[in-house]
Amino acid sequence: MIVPRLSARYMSSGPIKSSLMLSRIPIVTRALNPFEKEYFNYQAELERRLMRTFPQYYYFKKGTLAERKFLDIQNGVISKQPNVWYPKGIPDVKHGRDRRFKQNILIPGEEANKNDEKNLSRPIEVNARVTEADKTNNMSSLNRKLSHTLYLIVKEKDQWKFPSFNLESQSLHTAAEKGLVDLGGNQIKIWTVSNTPAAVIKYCEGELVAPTYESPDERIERHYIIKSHIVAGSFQPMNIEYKWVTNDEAASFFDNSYFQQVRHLLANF
Amino acid sequence: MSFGTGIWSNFSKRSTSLTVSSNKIKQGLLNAGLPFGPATLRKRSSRIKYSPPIGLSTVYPLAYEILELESTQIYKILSRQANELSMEQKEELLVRAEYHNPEVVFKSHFQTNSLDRTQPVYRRYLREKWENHDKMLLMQRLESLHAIPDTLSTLDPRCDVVLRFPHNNVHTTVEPGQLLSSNVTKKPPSLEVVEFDPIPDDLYTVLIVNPDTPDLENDTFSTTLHWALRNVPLSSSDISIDALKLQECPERELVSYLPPVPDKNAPVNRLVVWVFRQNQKELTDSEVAREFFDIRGFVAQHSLTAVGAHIWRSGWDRNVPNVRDMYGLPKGRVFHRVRR
Amino acid sequence: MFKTYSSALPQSLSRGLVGATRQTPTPFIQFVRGKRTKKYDLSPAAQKLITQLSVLSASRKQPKMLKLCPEDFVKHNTVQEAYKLITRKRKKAENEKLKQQYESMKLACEDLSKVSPELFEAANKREVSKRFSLELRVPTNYPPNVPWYYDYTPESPEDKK
Repeated sequence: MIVPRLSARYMSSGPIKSSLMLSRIPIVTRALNPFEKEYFNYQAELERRLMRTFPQYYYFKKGTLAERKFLDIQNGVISKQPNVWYPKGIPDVKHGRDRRFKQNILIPGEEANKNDEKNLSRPIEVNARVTEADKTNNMSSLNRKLSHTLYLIVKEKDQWKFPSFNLESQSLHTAAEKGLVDLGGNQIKIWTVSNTPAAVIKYCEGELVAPTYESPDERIERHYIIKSHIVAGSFQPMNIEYKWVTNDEAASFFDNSYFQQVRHLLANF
Repeated sequence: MSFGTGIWSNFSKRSTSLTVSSNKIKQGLLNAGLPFGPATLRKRSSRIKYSPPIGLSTVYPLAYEILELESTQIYKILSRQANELSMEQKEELLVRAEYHNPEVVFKSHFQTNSLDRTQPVYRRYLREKWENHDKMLLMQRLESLHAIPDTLSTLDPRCDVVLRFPHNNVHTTVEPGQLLSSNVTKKPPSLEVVEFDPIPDDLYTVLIVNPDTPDLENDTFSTTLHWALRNVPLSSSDISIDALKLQECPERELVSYLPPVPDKNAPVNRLVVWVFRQNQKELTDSEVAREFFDIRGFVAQHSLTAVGAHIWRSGWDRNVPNVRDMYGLPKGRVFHRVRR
Repeated sequence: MFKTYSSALPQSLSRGLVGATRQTPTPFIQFVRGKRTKKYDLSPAAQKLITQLSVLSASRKQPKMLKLCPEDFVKHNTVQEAYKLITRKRKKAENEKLKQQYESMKLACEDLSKVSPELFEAANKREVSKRFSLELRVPTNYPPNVPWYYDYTPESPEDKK
């Protein structure tokens, strides 16, 4: 059946809303599974084994104190001697390295105090990937689940959803950006991915229907989802409940039917 | 799941040919490290001085688990949809289920002489090995020696043809295109036809033709049929055609073996072995002329499918008169630069 | 480490004494720290160049070839195949998701064009010179000292001036 283009264009419609899918991108890389961890370790070990010998004569001038310091702390290798039987194979020492094995290079230097802020050679202390917000399970914090993408969800009529805003003769993305500031204050900086909506969610008399659902009368309410990232600041609404959740947690907060319609928009991690 | 508990250690439905028979090697493959050392190394000194790469023993059990899980899922699909799948799909799934099994990989790489050809995965490994070398070599020799198109127009090889001559008790295989002495070729060869496709057991026809017989009257060369076998049953477990098999059923030999006896000063003769599938049809032809044999007509008449080929070359040597005596053939001709 | 000097006097001076009657000077040894005792014909610049080239060249610095016993060869292959398998699966799932996202975007746009052509036009307006925000940082293995920057205040119009 061919539907005339004109009738489609002038189809009467119900209310249109702009829904904002605000995400905080991961701050740390994703957690590796045990196999990947071991695999990368194995590959690194292979690479070390197959690495060229370190040309120490280039970095330390002969006869200098620096060379002496460097050579003093290196673990010596067994060299090949005549008339000696080596059960683990004859050593093949070139440039102070047994070429059959990986080379362990030790770097000279005194133990620097890690609290000494001015000393640049102090040992590097990494921050924990699990933060205070994770331990207290503070779901309104942006410091939680650093390795996952977090999504802003709000409670509307006892249902958790992405926040949606009315249009006031604007485009979809400006309505979403303005609506967010109106709802959560202007202490926030966001970066909208695109003006184009990523998905449409349709309600017919308050009930969620499939995005392909068509009805001639004006009963369908449409929510167009705009994707955006939070860059800085925070969302501080006055009188509305909100949470920052990962994709796995979103499944438990959303209605199942709602989740099925947006799950492909959520990142894997 | 760990070693020895998954599908790759369960032989209630899988063939026992999918495991390594030597216990030391098996333990080496089914453990994180090598409990008996590198058992495959021959020399004791190399076993002592061997040091495995760092990190392999920790990652290997995890890798094994991942691949075994994948195999378990494929076997589940196979058992659930056994009736819906075609023969090719089933074969493909069976190959995928075992292709990365370390024991199978070990056998396919290092114990190639004793592979069980009834298992699809071994057939796949053998086929890959064949396609990477022997098939290309065969096609190159057939084309550069112009066996194609002098005998048949072309060939899409489906099976490996292994040729052996029982001379001097030496059972070495003949490489395609080799120049053989008349002493080697005086007795009929034995053949092995290694099929790689999942086909039901079929009947085979074997022809050995020589397209280089001088035809002085027409000032050209004619094709002579040296050997013709028909209705030879072969299967994935029984792949050889030898004297013993032919003795059992003499009517399979359509034309008896004539050894190549080239004339002196004639060009080197090409002897092309063609193997055909009969597509389950019996060949009931009785009389075939040996001289002026029309191989294209014969293939078309019996609607045979060429699946494999082999080629060797024979020139005149001092032993040719002896071979002629052996078979009661007349004295050979001697050609000269100027025709007399 | 030791260097013998043939003359106590500078050469120029001693050369100046050629015509005069001259005694054979007594040689003396002077210790020079870090001085090469071997004689090299090369100039220091050339020697430096040789050292630099030697760093680049492979001679004597290549490790021995890695030889695996058959069992370890099979194990190594197994590990590589397992990694390939999980990578392939992940890539496949990602592509599937991208396809779904494209389809849903297309569906939303088609729907929007039917419902409101004006909004559709605004949504598909070309965004000239749109760039990624500089503040969006690439994930690292470990978090920064302050994981999230909360104290954000937007620029007021007066600040811009």
